[in-house]
Amino acid sequence: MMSWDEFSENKPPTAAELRTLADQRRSSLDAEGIELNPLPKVPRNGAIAKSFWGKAWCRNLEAYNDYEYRLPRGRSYLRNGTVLDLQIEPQTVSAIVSGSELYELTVNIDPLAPETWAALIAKCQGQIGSLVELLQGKLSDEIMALVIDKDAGLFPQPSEIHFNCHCPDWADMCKHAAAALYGVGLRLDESPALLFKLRGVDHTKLLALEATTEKMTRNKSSRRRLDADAVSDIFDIELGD
Amino acid sequence: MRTQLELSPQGVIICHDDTREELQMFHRSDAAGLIYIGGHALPSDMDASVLYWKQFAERFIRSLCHIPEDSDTTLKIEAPTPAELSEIILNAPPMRGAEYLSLHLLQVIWQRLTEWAVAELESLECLSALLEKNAPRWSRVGRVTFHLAENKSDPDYPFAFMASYASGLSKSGRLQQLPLGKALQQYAGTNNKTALLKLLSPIHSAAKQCKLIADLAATQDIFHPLVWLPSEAYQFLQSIPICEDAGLLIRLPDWWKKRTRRPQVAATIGSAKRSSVGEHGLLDFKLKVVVDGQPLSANEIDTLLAGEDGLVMLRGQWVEVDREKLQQALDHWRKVEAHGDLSFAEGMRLLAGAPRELQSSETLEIEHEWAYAEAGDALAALLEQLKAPEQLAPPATLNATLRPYQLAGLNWLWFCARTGLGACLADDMGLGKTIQILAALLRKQADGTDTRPALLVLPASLIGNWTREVETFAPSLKYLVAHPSACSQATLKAPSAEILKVDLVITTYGMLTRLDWPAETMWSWVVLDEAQAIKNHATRQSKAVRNLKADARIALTGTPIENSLGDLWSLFDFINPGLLGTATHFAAFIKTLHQQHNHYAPLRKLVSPYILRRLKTDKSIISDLPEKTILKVFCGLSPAQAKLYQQAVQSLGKELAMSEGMQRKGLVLTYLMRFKQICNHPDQVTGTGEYQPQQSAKFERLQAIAAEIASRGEKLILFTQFKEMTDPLAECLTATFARPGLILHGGTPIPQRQQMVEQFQREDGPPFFVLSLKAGGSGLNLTAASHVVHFDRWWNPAIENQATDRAFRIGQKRNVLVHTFITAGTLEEKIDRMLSEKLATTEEILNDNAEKSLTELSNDELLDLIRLDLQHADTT
Repeated sequence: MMSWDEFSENKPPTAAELRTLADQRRSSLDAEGIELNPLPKVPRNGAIAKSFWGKAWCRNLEAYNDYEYRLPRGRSYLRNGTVLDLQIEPQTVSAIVSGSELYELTVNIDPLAPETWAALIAKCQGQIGSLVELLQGKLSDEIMALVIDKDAGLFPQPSEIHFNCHCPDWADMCKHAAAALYGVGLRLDESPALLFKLRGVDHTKLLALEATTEKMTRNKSSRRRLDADAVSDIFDIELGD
Repeated sequence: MRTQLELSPQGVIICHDDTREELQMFHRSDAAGLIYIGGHALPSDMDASVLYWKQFAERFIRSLCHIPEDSDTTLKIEAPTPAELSEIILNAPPMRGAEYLSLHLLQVIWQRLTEWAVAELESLECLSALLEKNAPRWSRVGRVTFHLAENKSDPDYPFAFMASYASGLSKSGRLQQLPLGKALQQYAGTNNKTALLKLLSPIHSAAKQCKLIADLAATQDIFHPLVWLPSEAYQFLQSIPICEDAGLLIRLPDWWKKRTRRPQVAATIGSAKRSSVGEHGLLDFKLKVVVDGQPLSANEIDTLLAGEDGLVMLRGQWVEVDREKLQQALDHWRKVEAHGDLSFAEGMRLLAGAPRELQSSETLEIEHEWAYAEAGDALAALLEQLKAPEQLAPPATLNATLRPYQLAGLNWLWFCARTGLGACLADDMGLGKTIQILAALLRKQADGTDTRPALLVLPASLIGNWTREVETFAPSLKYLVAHPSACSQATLKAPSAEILKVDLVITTYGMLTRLDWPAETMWSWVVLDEAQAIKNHATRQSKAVRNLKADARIALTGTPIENSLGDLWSLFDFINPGLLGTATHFAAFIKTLHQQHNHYAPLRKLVSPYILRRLKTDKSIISDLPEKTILKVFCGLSPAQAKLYQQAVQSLGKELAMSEGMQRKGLVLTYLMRFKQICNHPDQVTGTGEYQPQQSAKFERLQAIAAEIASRGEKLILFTQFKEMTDPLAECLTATFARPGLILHGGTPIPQRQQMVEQFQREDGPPFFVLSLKAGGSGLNLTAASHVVHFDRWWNPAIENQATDRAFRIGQKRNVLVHTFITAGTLEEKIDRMLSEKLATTEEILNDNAEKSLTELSNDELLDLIRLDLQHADTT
């Protein structure tokens, strides 16, 4: 199936042309004194993101069946360096993308449902791994593994995403928006906290020490406990207060 | 060669290499160096000595890590137990100074580490900051302990587990523990994130690698004391290495630690008394399966092998069963058993915990953990005697009184020689190895059962010393020196049977390669002096020595041969051939030891029964020794020296006849000086040349002595009366020590002198100091040296003593050995004899103008004094 712009323009820009145009426009924006927030370099081949959560974000985009026709073009736009600027604010991704023209676009994302957030907090609590990460001020393996869950995590559903691009593409998600969304995956690599920001939640709330430890030490296990009075004798130790 | 860490006799760990970045801190202090290597990951190509000290430092840092952070009491670092320290000593790799390792010394090093930590804490606010700064590898280690104990009251759940956190010290100083759950709540309540992190991160990292811990953490059971099934306890025991790596402290029931709570295959070696031991002896061999030393019945073994793995109750106690490994061990040892009797070498290897064939590496673990060897009655008795031989009185014909350790040495040598076990007497220089051998030879003579002569092989430069000692201490010993300096070419080529009826034939390493008859004679004993001469296996003299046939082999050396694997192997290939296998097998064996945590105990156990080493620093020896021991070092003359000496004697004779009065006095003084110079080095007389050491017997002797001192990490000061000799001597010593030393003479500016002294006194400072007697004879404090060499004679004991006292001063803790060099058969020896025999003339010589008094002798007396006594001069 041919897209509208391919139908209307006989010659869509080649990869080389895209790169040249992007470079020219970047320079002229620079000359105008417009400060850009560019993305790190994207590899020509292979995975776009490196971290497992960044990869999960990209994979998740591909799971949205509604957009499957725009995604390959979005990826090649990103790889050709056309995303000149990308900012992540609560509930908003805004980007400047260079195509046949220069497009400014925003993607609005609905805030995370409070019950999903509450459930996520509950899941993080009670796990040594996530507590250790939070104490170290890090978001990494343990927490991000919970965060990328398709249904109970932080990734938005297609219905929660709203595109707003000035391009003439009639599709809901144009290739420019697709490039920007892949760009988000790239940015998450370095700074996983941005995902929390995008969904309008505060990740520091995950570390609720008292609640966490209370939960961790609550009596609920299947294993048999040793009588507290016997501890000192059996292990031959002096118990502190 | 890899950079070694060297242990000094004073117990300081020294690094002489400036190029290894990882070892730089050792130049600051050994404690700082240790902490650095213990606290950082090191490249894999480090020397075994570095890895050894790294392990020791890690042991210290681990103790440091388990101290409660907020305990305000002063640092109380739990020191290793004496048993643990003994184990550490036994496992030391071959390295310089390993012979100085002792319980006391390790405790002193531990103490220095503690002092280092206390000082460091003064500038840093807390322990974690200290670890973060100095031992980043360890900063994640917390103070969490996993406990496993028996839960005797519950037969269904016979074990109990708990994770605890060291929260502080009680008033009595005992460590207080909090169950992990409680600690967690407490620190969360006070929002103490640092403590929480310390508490949780080791568990977290253990959980990543160990399913049991991951499961305990996921279910949060880890926060509570639990009762456990044997299977859970066993699973935990298997996970201990992972937990320890993650920084967890593990406390276990004592019985587990002993490791005897396993059914093990016990091989009993050498129960029956055999007529011969040593190289050709065979040992019988029996197998049983034991637990804690108690043999199991065939039924019990079958039940075990048919049952389950894990912790099993056997005879009322828990034992660990791994059927596969037990079966493997059984199969392995049954194969050995099927092979028949063991050779002596094989048996001794197995007893030491080494593989029977030495080179097979894969069986070592099984042989260690699931099997062990023990000596049967007869062999045990033999080994016991080797450790504590029968105490016999010294031979009546010995013209000296033996010190207690010398008598012990004599009895040991006698036992080894009679049983045919090779022996290496490796006492420190100055403790009297020669006299112990002479006493053993006299006992052999008195015993009379073996009248064949013994053969003594030594470097040519030692002939003079030995013959003098034989004549002084063992005059009844009949000896023959098979060397061109002492017998005719005819006798040398083919000594008659008559001559071979002496008690002792003395020859040199060099002669062995030129003569046939020593290898064709069946000697009673062969004794090697300065046995490090055969450390290079491939040399002609090593081969010639190995061709000698004898019932008993004895090696004497002051060099700690265990510190170099090659030397050790070569020496043992002579004294106990086969024990250390072929060079290739031995190399494979060492590689295995290195790979297995750098634990060298099997090697040490294997060789130590045949090495007797007493150190001057041993407490039991030191009380027995005078504070300074004076050794007369008799040197020969090189052909060039002998020629010059003879010429000088002749020309003095001529000139004396034509002079008198003041002119005669001057003439005599000039000649006395020239004789001394010739004895030092021919180049000193000619005033030219490069002072090649082999041109002078004194230089060669100095090199040998210095090499031994260098190998012991000791220091040397040398006095000469000639300023022009200081440079050539220092050059010779620099080559031997492989490091430069210091030189001080009349031309050295005064301010520089004190600097040099301070430099020398530093533990890692220069190894030797050459001083001209006049400039350095007084006022300087050089107590870092334990050896003083008087290279030439002043002929005034008072001045020499004053110089000697530079090294020997109040506060000196070492025994000082004074080596007085005397050229045999020359003026030097005759004057020395006069000095020691206190003849009438000596009184005059003793006064300050000793040389002047000599000028007053008559021409004949004088010529008699300087004449070269060919009977005694060893021209080499």
